[in-house]
Amino acid sequence: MERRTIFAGWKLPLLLVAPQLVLTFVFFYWPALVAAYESLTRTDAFGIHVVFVGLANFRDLFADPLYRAAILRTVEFCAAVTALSLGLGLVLAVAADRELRGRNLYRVLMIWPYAVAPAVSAVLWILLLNPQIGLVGRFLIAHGIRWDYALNGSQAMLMVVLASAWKQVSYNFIFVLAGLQSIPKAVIEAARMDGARGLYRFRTVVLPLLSPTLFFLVVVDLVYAAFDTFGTIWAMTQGGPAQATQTLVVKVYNDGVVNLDLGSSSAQSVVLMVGVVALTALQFRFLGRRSGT
Amino acid sequence: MATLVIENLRKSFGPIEVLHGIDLELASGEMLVIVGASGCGKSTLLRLVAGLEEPTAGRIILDGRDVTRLDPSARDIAMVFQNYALYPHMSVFDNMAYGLRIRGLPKAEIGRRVQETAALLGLEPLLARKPRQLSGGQRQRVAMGRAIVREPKLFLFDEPLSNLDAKLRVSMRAEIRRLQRRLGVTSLYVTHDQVEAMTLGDRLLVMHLGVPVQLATPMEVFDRPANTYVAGFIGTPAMNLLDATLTAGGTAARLAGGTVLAFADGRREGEEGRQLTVGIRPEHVRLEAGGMALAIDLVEPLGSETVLLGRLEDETLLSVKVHGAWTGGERTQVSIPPASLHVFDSRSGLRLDPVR
Amino acid sequence: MKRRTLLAGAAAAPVAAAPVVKVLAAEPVKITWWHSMSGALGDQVARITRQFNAAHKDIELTSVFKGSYPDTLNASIAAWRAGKAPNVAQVFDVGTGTMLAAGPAVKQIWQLAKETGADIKPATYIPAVRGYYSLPDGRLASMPFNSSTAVMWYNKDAFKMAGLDPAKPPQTWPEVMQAARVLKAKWADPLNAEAKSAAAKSAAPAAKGSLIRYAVTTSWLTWIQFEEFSAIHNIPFASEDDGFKGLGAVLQCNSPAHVAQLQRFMAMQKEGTFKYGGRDSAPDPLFYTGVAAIGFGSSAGRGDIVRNAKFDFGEALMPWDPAVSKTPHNTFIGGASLWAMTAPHRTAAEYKAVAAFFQFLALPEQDAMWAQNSGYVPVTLAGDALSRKQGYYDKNPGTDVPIQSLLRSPVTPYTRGMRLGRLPEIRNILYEECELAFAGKKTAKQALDETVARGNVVLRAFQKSVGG
Repeated sequence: MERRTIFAGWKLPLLLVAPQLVLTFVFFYWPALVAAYESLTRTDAFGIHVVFVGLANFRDLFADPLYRAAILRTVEFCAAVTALSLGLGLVLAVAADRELRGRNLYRVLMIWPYAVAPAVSAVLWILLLNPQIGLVGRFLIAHGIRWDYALNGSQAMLMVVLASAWKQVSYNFIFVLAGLQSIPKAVIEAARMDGARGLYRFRTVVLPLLSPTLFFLVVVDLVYAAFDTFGTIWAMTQGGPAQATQTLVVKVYNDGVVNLDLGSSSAQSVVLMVGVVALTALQFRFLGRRSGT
Repeated sequence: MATLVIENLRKSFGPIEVLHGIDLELASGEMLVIVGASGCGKSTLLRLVAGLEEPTAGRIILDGRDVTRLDPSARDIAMVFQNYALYPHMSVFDNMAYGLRIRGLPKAEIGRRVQETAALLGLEPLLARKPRQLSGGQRQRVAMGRAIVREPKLFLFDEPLSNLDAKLRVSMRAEIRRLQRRLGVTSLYVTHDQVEAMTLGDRLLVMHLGVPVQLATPMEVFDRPANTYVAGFIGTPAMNLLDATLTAGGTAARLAGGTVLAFADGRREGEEGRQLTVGIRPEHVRLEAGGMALAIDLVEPLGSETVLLGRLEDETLLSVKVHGAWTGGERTQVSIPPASLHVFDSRSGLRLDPVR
Repeated sequence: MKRRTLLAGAAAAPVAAAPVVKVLAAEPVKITWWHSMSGALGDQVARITRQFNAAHKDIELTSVFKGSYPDTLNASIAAWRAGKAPNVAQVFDVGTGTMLAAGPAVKQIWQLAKETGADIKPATYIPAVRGYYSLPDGRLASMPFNSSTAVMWYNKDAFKMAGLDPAKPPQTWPEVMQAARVLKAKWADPLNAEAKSAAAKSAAPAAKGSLIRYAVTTSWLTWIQFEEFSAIHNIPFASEDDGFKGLGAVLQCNSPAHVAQLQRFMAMQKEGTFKYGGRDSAPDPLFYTGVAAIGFGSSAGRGDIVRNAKFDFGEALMPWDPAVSKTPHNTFIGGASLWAMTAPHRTAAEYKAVAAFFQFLALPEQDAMWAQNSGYVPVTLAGDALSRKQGYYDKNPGTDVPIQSLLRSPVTPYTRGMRLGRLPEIRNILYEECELAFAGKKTAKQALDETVARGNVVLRAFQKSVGG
């Protein structure tokens, strides 16, 4: 059944959507346009000397091996965060989907990390992992592991991946759980009657039925890892050591806010914007096709 | 082909017992229909046999083997679900082949058996389709095929026809009966539909509030309902149940309106004035001049028959089924043939048979 | 305003024409000050604001906390672009280059003094302080405010345990390295072994006390061990007198002396006597929690150390490398200064109020009170003298070390400070390269050569962006 409300004229509808349009314009289109314009200029912080340089900022960017390395690093980081947070979310949701005592409490506890501010979660992780004061950090050192994320890039990367993934596990958990619960119980029972057990049943029946949810989450997680992890990374490593944890969005902040290199920073945000538009388009196309048939 | 024995099966959910001890024995190849209103425990019984629920007490013995605590996968039982429960992401072929693959059958054997089953059910042109591309009836057939192809020891049917429209339900009903006979697989069939129950079952188990009320052939259940619940549940429209008292030395019943009905089959135990419930099926009530006066409130034409809903003089409700259309007026006179009378004790609701 | 003053400069034109010029001081002149002083420092800012307003009935100063240094700088820049800059902005040391290139956005102190007739003399300020905020010819560009410098903190208890004389901290780098070896052998290693056996016995690992101790750590690696290092040895960190003479400066921090400095730390790291604890002030806790016996840091860290250290500590002058310079030179300052900012329609009265505020801060009693309560050094010679007279340095041994460090020698072109655009970015590059060297991925020479190459790209980009 289709529900359709018909308004006479166009003034009332326009009035009703206006707040949304205004918000979108003020907080998205306008800054995006400014960034697009600034990406074509070379300017000092105060905007006193503005020179139009065409695509020079982009040329410089892609000619810079450090930027290319940052792209690769971001891809690795996003893949790791997505795999880890989605995998954990899946495991925990499957566990929570069973009939167990204290299930509701367990679910609420699972959802908490999502409500924790990135900077706070970063501090929590540092309190755990710091080689001097962290419980886990000191444990590692006491057992002969050279744990030193202030110098060891791989360990720093591991740390920001852990912290970033941890925050996103809740989100994945909620959606996977909803996905699991939308799978008809009878289908699972039919598989049991057919003789399918445990992991085999999960792989052949549950997982395929969960795949639209999982695909949605992969895209959301990638976008999260690419953009929303800034607070966590910045609070933990500021992109260091060396540039080991400098993802693209950290670099945008670093170049724009710390280094006040507005042209390059704007060019980088334009590149990121193109990336997220591409991801979203991919998702729309894929989901559109799935629901279309 | 196997026998099924159920001994004192009980099931509680928390403090609430929903099955109060069921004993059953199914002969090899028999089709037993469990019928009852929703909430009577019939689905729970089926799920216990399937292994989808764990019984609180009792034993389930399939083909001589105690399967009470076995996982469903180890029981060799197939089940047809109410909403079909097909695997939405698999083709019809894969839906049917799934259970066979788990059993590790050779590919060729799987193909052969699926093809055979598909032929049996007329599913051959649909094998490549996904469930969402099928109609309700086709899905039902696939669900059947998925059970049949496994060649299990026992079939379980959980209201498999209730999602179909009335016409399809009739033809599928016949098909299920035909297939079950032909394959000869022992079957348990749960339904709330008494027509399905009557037409499909070799025997019926009528359940009420977690207790088995009557286990008998369909005709016996119809002809000799064990209590007022069965009497009211089986038959359409439902049997008229009238208050009466025992009279004439146990040889007759006096209705509340004063009419005395002599028993055709013999004397009933009990004192004069024992509270009785007497039953008469609407189709057995006769229109007869000089009988009890009936004021007709409602006329329900069913085509070849018509149901009259009326009141006797003492305001007792009575329904009457007559052949053809009703041409009479708002009043008529009816009589109750003693041979068609069912007699129950009104306190226990149990059938009162004549003293031998 | 009693008298209409015809102002020079771009911002003056609308002021002179504006009809809002007041003849009576009935309504106070309102000025705002954006700063980054939080916590106890924020309380001091509030006190200063209160006292200034009490002393100047015709002026109403409002101070607003705007977040971290970069936050305040960014907010000020954004506000200026929107025509709403604060009258006074607190800008950190490394933002000085950016502000100097801001042209019409700021009114430099000499200019402000000239226009308002306010008596602000550079000579009032300690040379090493004013040098950082002065033009090459000595004219003052911004107002010195919270200033600190690099010092060497050391754990006297650890020194005693290692058999070193706590009254005689090492003075040169070779002495530091030698002391570090002794500290490792006689203080760090025994404690580490003790903690390890304790940890082996109890299930909870290192439940109390840190497991690994190090002789040496350093905060602000780039500022202290390279920029201040250059000043101490009177060698350039960058050409054009560390950028003071022009925008065309190139980095020179890959000289043999600098390479030797980085190698020194790499060698100590290899010996197990040095712990790299991260960037900026991140390693501070390593010293005050007792993990490291010697911690190079900012003199402004005193408050944290006093609050946290459960041991007797000392504050000493930075060591020097006799192989590079026979005698040590003065260090320069870190911290932040105050900039007078412009805005359209800003009145002469407001600039005058700003000048009055700056003069208020330079009063000896104000300067001394600020220094004693904040842990920063006094910025005026008179403030320092007053503190001394009040007996503050005697009552708080070590508190005059930063001043001693700043006054260790006459200021030379290489000891004034850094005057480089985008210095934060250059520091980060230096951090990155040093981290790669510490991680064993580069040699000291490679790391510093790469720093110079990458840093020069940044300097040229800055030069171009400001139209230089």
